[in-house]
This record gives sequence, structure tokens and C-alpha cells, in this order.
Amino acid sequence: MMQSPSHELGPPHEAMFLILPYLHLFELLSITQVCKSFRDALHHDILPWLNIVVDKPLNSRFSDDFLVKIMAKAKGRLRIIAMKNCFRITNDGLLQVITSNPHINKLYLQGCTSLTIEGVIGAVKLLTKANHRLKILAISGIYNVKIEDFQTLCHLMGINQMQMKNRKKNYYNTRCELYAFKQESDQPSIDVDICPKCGEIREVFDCPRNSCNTRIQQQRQQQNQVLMECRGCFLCVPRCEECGVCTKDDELGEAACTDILCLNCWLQLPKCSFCNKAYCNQHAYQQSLYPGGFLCSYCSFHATQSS
Amino acid sequence: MITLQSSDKDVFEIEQSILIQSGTIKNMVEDDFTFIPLPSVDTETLIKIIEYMKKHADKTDSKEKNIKEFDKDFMKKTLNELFALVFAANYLHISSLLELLYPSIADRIKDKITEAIRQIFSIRCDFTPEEERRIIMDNKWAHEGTEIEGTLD
Repeated sequence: MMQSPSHELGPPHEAMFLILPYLHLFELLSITQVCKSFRDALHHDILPWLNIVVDKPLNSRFSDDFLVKIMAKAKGRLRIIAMKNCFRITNDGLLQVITSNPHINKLYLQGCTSLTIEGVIGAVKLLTKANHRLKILAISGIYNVKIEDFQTLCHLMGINQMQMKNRKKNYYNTRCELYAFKQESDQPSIDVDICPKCGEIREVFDCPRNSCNTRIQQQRQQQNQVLMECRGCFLCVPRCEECGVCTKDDELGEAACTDILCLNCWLQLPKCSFCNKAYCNQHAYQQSLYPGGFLCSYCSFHATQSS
Repeated sequence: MITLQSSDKDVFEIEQSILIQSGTIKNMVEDDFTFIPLPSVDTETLIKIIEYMKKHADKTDSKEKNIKEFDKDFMKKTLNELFALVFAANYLHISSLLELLYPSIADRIKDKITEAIRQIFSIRCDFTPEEERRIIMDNKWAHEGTEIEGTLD
């Protein structure tokens, strides 16, 4: 933890006010309560309220009512709204936000499982009329998205086949990076695609493995119609959690969490002293540490049971 | 070559091609300035800014991974150092550095409850008990359960 050398408490550093527009909603609400200057700054300044990012730990509590309450602070000028895994938000709530804020240009709705694709299409229709351009849309995790729905969305947002083919590689191990504040050029306009293997509308990942990419290039050069590329959704092509390579035919390392680890990554990760399983970096917090190593949660639990 | 002078009166000679990453410096160079005093940037911070710009001056694809590693390490600084960098990058209009700094600092208070934020930044609570009670009530819905879930780490 950081503390100033004198351990004296005082007013906040001025640079902190520059950070406010980059905080997620939970931290914004925590910081309003810190002291008067923050409370007043957030009351008077509209800028931090134009980009709303809701994820853990707020996502499970975020309902339509709170959504409407928060968005009112933007006075109709909301630009970015990101609601990751906000499973309580309904089509009605979404419609209310969009109707009052027609200038939204980035809409992230991953895991908002109470929304239907019809509701999303309705929202996108509102955001793509009259010269307004919705730049980014994220809908992975929303159920029952059909190919026609995907095509409708691409059409509304002005995404064509060429753009889809030429976009940046999408790797499985960097899929959770929330791009809300990053440049548009660093993100795809829509996060899902048609899986080349199963035809479902899901997040589709490329392979960082060199041999997979050389094979694709060779086949393209030979204009080989049978593309054996390993590009596909996670259900068709399981991937290593740490590096994103395809793992179908390979030997896997045993993971203490339920994730998949390729042998290379497994070799480099620390292992449980008892069962020799490794945690991926994201789940490393589940390690029960002791001097010299750790026990995974399973072994740690059984160690206490048997004493 | 352009000469920059920090608030501590130390001078640095740097190639123009590296410095134009700063919008502020770029404008001054276009107005034919070759000596640029920076009274709001101290030497320590200016050295770091120059280090950053040097690394980012060559943005070829092959260097991209290298640059990403550098950026990650570059952010491993104390909060006060990061704040000084924010001020400097803001004044110098180096948008790529700001885009790196803002989420890095925001990350330090990710998931933190109010009391934890006060401790991390050594901020004194200047609310009266009544004011504090009122503001907690206003935001009650957001912090429900944080007595159990919230962390001071």
C-alpha cells in the first residue's frame, strides 16, 4: 500500500481529478465519498459521467433503476456505456438509456443475459440513424444470436466483409481486456463473428502459433479452398488460457482451476506442492501460500480436513 | 536538435523527430523555437518523459512487443511519480502516455472501497458526520455488501 512518507493526511493530489473520467463506476461512487473536493467535483463536473463502465463488483447489483439514475447525470450526452455481465439489465432499461442518449458511440453489453438480440437490434437501430455512427458494439454472451441478426447489426453499423477480413487478430488470452477507453482503431467494431467451424455467432479467435499462421498463408498462396485454419470459437477450438494457442491435438498441463493450459505455459507456472497442478495467472489468487510454495484450494482444504 | 530546460534549470538536447510526440513541443518547433523552457516539469519527471518518447519514437511492427514490455515496466512507479507524469504529459500533450497513465492509476484503486482509497492516497476525510451519513445513504445501493466484500488491500 502506498502512503506518503510523512503519513500525514491531506487533500487529494490535483492530478487525481484528471483521472476521474477514467474510473469505472464502482470506483467513481467510492471516490465521491472520500472527501468534499471529490464529492463536489463529481457533482459539478459532467465529464466523468459521460463514460460509464460497470463491471465487478457492481455488475450483479446493477439494475434498470440504477442505470437510469446514473445515466441522468450525463444529461443526454452519454458517449460510452459498458455493462459487462450486468445480467439484471433488461431491454426496457437499455431502450431508456438509448432514447435519452442518442450520441452513444460505444456500446458494450457482454454477458447481459437478460437482454434479447431483438432488444439490442432495436437499440442499435436508434443509434445508427440520422448520420450518427455507432463505432463499437460488444454482444458476446447474449443468447440466441442468429446469423441474420449478426448480418443486420453489421449492416446497421456499416461493417462490410472486407473490414471483417482485415481487422486485427483477436487472441483468446487477451479477450478480457476491457477496451472502453482505448482507441477505436485498436478494437473490432463488433466483438462477435460467424465461427468458420460451427457457424454460430460467437467470439472467434485467431491463433498466435506461428505454424498455424504459416499454414494459412501457404494455403492462401496456393488458393487452397480447404482451409484448415484453427480460427474458431472457443467451443470448436479450445485454447490455452495464458497464451491463446490452439490445444486440440496437444498434451495439456493439469490446471488447478478449470482452465486449459498448454504444456509450455504449464511448465513456466508455479505448481501446487502436493498435486503439482498449476493455476493460470488470473486464478493465482486461489493459491494458499506458505513459505516456499503454495497449496491449491483443493489440497489446502483436504489438508485441514485430515488433521 | 531541440534544447529542453526543466524547472530545476537542467538542460537536455534531444532530436526534434523524437520530441514531436509532444503536441506542445511540436507547436513550438513549428514556430521555430529551438530552446524550450518547461517551468512546470522537474528534472526527474522530464528524464522519464524523454525516456518514454525515445522508446516510442520508433513504432515499427517488430518493435511493438518490445514497446509493450517497456510500457508495462514504465508504469511500475510510485503514485507520486505517476501523478507528476500525468501533469507533465497533460501539459506536453503526449496523448499516448496519458492513455497509458490513466488506466494504470485507475487500476490502483480498482475495486477499492472509500476507506481504502483514503488510505492509499493519504486523503483526509473532511465531511461532518451528518454529511458523511447523507452521502453514504445516496450511494447505498452501490456499496451494499461491501462490508463483507470490500477489501483494504
